[in-house]
Amino acid sequence: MELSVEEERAYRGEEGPAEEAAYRILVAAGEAAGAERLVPVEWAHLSGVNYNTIGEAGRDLLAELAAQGARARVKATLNPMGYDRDSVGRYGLGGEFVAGQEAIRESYAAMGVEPTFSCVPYELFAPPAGEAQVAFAESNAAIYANSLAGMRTNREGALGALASAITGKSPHSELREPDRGGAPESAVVVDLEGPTEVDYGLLGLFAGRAACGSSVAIAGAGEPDARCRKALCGGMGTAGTCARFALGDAGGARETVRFGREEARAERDGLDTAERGDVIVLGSPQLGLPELVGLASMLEGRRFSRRCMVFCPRAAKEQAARLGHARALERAGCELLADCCACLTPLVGPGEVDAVTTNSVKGAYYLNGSTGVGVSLRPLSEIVAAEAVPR
Amino acid sequence: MRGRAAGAVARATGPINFLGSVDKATGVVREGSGCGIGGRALRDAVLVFPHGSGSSVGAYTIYSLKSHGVAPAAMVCERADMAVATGCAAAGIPMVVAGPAEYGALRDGARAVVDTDAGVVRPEAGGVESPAPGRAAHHGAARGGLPEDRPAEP
Repeated sequence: MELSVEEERAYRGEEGPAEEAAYRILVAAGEAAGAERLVPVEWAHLSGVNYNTIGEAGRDLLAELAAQGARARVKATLNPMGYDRDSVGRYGLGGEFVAGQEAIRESYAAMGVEPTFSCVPYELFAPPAGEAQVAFAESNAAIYANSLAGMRTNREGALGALASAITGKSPHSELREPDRGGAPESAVVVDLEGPTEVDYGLLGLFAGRAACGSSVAIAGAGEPDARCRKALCGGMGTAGTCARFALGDAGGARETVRFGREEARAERDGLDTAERGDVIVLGSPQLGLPELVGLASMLEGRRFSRRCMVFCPRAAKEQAARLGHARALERAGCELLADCCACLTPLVGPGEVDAVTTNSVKGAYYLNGSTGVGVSLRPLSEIVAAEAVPR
Repeated sequence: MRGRAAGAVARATGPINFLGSVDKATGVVREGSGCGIGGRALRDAVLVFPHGSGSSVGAYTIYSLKSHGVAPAAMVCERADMAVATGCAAAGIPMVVAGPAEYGALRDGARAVVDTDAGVVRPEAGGVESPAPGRAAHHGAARGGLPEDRPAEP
């Protein structure tokens, strides 16, 4: 890999141990991926924040980097952590978990990373001007940035994005080129009547796995609304390595596969593992303010007959509170949780529940797989019809 | 990640989403994760798999495996993905992208040698002494995972 004089100096440790560690991660990753150089990035979005997922090894690595003087050189934002500090006391999480999570939070704060605790950074900040180069870990956010927000990023690894925050650099790739590597080699042709957000999530999963390159073309998917767009990105992020989709036609693709009702059912069968959940879980990716408003309006005059946990960014929770939507949602039996997300939070676990009901394909994937609870996967409209009773 | 290692091949048939498929403290692959090596322990193995998939946080899972002493000795992929590449870089686990012939020659359960500097990925010949698994990470960090020794050139 070609490094500039400054990069070379930092790589050799002349800018301190934190920069050295960061450059070594970027160079090793770039070599593995066949990158010829590093490029400057304007924004790094970091995953690897939840103590549940990174554990004591991650906590110690972050503490050591912070102590070595690692500082974010460019705008840097954070993925969700394990809980909402407003309500963590009600959940009886072990002291060890809270101590581990707080240590991680403090290390990132010391590095000057924005405490956004959100997997939808694209809803919190406008993209930098002009097809900006960024470095997003968090798979749904990287895919969203490339496909829908006019930014350019690799589907970064968690430690790569951290290294990008510290150095302001990321490995070059075809995704960073003006033409993004040309027309995608693979295309998915959608053949579904009235697709729901669950169908879009399943489509993401299917297309991500079908893609043989870094991009995939998706034809016949109509014009998905915000909820469906996020579901598509979240689903795609759980499988494969595809970092971008292009909605439109399948032009130029070498391989075309169909995604119809049968394919959707096959994808869904692996994830829809329970008849009915003990708790309803919404928000993977986290719900933004418009989705909270939409949920409140769907639930007007009604109330969920069972517990409903709604995950959202803190900014959305605070705005919802100011505008009265939070009160309306609470009256309808929803609990708003900021700073964390349905996937892999210890707030939803086998000790607490046997199964959850959700409309999130991404959530269903991780709840089934890592958390180890059953999942009833249905669209929000069906969940509301089945579980909300007149108040 | 550069380096040299040898070990018994654990050959997955499908991509691995390390977050969710591999227990970060024990190095055991979860049953039903779809990669074809469910229930197996990855410790000291030469892990052969098409590529990582899914979560970016898989990088931390790989780093945790190393910290818990249950990491593979080396990883061999068909193509690179950033979660695996950065995880191996931070953990000091040699990782290579192999060509189809090299990749195809690595049989599950047989011993294999990975030496990135010599450009070698191959089944281990009979009678060749293999390096101790712990020595594989000669670019990595014994303490805290941060680099200590420095390679000559990037």
